[in-house]
Amino acid sequence: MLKRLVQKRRHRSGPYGHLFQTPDGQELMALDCETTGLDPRRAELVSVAAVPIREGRVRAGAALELHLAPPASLSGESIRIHRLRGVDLAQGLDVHQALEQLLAFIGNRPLVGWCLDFDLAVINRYLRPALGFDLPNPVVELSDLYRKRERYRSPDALPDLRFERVAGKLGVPVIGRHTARGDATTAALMYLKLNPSVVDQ
Amino acid sequence: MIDVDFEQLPFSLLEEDRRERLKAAMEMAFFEAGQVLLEARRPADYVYVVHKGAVLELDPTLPADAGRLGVYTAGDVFGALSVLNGRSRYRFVTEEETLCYLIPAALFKTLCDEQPAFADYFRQRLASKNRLLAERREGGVTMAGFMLAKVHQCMREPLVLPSGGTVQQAVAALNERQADSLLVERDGHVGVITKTDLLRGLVDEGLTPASPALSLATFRLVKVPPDEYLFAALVSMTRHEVERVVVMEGRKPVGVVELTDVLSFFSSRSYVVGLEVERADNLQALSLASARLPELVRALMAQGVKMRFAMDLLAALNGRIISKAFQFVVPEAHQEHGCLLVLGSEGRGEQILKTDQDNALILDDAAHWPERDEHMRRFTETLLTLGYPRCPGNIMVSNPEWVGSLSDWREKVSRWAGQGDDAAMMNLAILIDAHPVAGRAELVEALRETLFQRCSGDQILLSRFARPSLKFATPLNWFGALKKPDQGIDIKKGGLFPVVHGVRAMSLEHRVRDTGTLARLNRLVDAGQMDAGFAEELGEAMALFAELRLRQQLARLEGEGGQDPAGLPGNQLLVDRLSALERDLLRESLQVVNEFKKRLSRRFHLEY
Repeated sequence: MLKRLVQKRRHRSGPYGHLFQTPDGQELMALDCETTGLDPRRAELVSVAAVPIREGRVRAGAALELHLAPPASLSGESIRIHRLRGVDLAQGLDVHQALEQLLAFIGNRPLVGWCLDFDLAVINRYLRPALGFDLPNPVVELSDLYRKRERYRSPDALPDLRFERVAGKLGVPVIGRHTARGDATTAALMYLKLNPSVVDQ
Repeated sequence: MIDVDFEQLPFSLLEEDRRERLKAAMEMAFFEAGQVLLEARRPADYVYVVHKGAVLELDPTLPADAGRLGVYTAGDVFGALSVLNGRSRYRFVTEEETLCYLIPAALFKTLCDEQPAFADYFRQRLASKNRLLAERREGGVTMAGFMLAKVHQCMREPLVLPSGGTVQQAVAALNERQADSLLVERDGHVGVITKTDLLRGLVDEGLTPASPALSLATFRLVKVPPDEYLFAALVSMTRHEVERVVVMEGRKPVGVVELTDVLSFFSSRSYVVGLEVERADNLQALSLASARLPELVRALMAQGVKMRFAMDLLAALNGRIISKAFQFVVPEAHQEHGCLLVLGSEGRGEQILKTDQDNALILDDAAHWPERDEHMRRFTETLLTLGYPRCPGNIMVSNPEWVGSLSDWREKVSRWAGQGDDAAMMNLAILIDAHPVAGRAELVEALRETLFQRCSGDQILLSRFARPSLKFATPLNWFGALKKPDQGIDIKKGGLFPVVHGVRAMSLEHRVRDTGTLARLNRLVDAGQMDAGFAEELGEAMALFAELRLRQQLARLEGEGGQDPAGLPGNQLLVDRLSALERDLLRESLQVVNEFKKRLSRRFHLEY
């Protein structure tokens, strides 16, 4: 919290100042990354996607999807999970270009995602040395929203927090699992279901 | 990530770059149950593609039940016409929670402007949608040769022998033009001379090369107009057992179509089946030819041939096979004293694959035929070996009930009509569809006249007769969506039967002599008993049912020996296996059936 205030103070008048302004709440961004591993300190970015949510609609067609140049740590294991081989990424962007594009796309909008901590940790690991700050955007954590809803509905049961199960429970179709864009779209749809005030608009 | 099948209609009509633009602009949204997406007479902002859930189309001016026009489920597109017309005609409400893709109206209109085929798709009515479906199947657009070919594309210039031409001149002309036949004229009538005629003249009748050839000509010709489908010409050749037809424009011969030309035009082995049937001079050859019919049907379907033409061709072929079998089994002396009838679907010419034999025999009152029962038993056995299974209701000539002199039959008709119970009504229904295949056809006409005299004016009888058409529920649920029970929907009971029987009842009332349902519909329109648009929709609906059923039957034939993928009887249609468009068509067609049932119920007073 304190760190965020310090960074905001430092960068408010810099080239990325707009990122630190308070969002107007009109639009949100569902975010998802595919990485080479599950350890946020070492996993490298493979692809990242952001899907805008506005007025209760998921603007699935307007999504941004970025593939990065193959990182050194791209291993057989991660290829098996998200099916991106080195050759698929050969055309990819380098990390800094990608982050520039991502920042420009998401702006100061609140971010929505499933277990977003991990994604943010990976992105911030790149961002900090390059630009000197963490993503300042407010964060809507879907697993928290879901847990809250389940606690209200059935206080004694422990909710099953696997992504596919939650999507199934919410009646959201899982679209293109283990692609950044598919997971981000699914997350965006989950947000619509978990946030009734948006549906009412 | 847009999870829409862009390879399916209507999106497959868009070119690649337009599809990309469409994808980029699509949004997704959830709608709760009962939410109004489009209000009647209001402009529409979006075209919707259902991803999950169900949306009802309602006419708010009608009472709740009648106002349900349709249901859209996964993969269906709605709102397109509302966008194109500027405003929605009906109200669209979610039936359950629904996830939709949204296409902004402005972009949709642009796409429609740029690609008229895309816009046309949405403007199609039921009939034209059906046609599109048939054309697109199996790359049917390029099916070229077959259905789209007209007679004038395949005909030869007529080779006319000048009046007074000699045999020698005729032979020279034939050789020069590499033709098989030439035309002659006498008193304004056109005749034809074939190579065979010339040989017969020279060898049998002792003509010399210098004799005039006119005496050899045949003047009983089979004629077709030049813009007739080539296919129909083939049907006429099969039906009349000739190898050429003369193309006439008015009274003037403009060409000749030879069987060999037609066959080479179609160039696929399958079409030779008809020829093989004709050439068969013993039972074994006939049964070989008969066994190839399913192959022919499959080829026709793959080429996207319209159902009604496929039905015509198959009816003609089945008729020829049965008639040939009759000639092989029954001694010639007796053939002239009777008339063999095919009944039921065969009589209507709507049986495509051999299902079962329904037939009967009328004898003239002078017939003396003591060993008749024995012959008829043998005939039924013969059909069995040709691949026509026994009729489960025993409506076959081997059953003496279905053989009799004209006066026997008249007596039966009046007995059945008087009885008025279900079985009697069924017998009458079977008899009305009777179509002669061998022997003296005028006997059938006499019997039909008796039927009309007894039944057409009898309102109580007609009402009883028509009642079974309401017997089976249409497989649509209360909301107008398809029912999808696990065992599939029965397309014969739910779709075909009500149409066929309803049309049959109206035909009985109005003395329509045709037996095919489509032909009957045309007659009823001519007689002013049905409006043309509705008749066309009924016809299209029937063609769709027949086609879906046929595909199921063909799949089952293929599965034979191995196993049937679903283990279902032939009439059960699995809705899940249809594409969204086919489901859509089926639904609309079943709605047409429902409408027809309502009209029948008013007309024959069935509503109590």
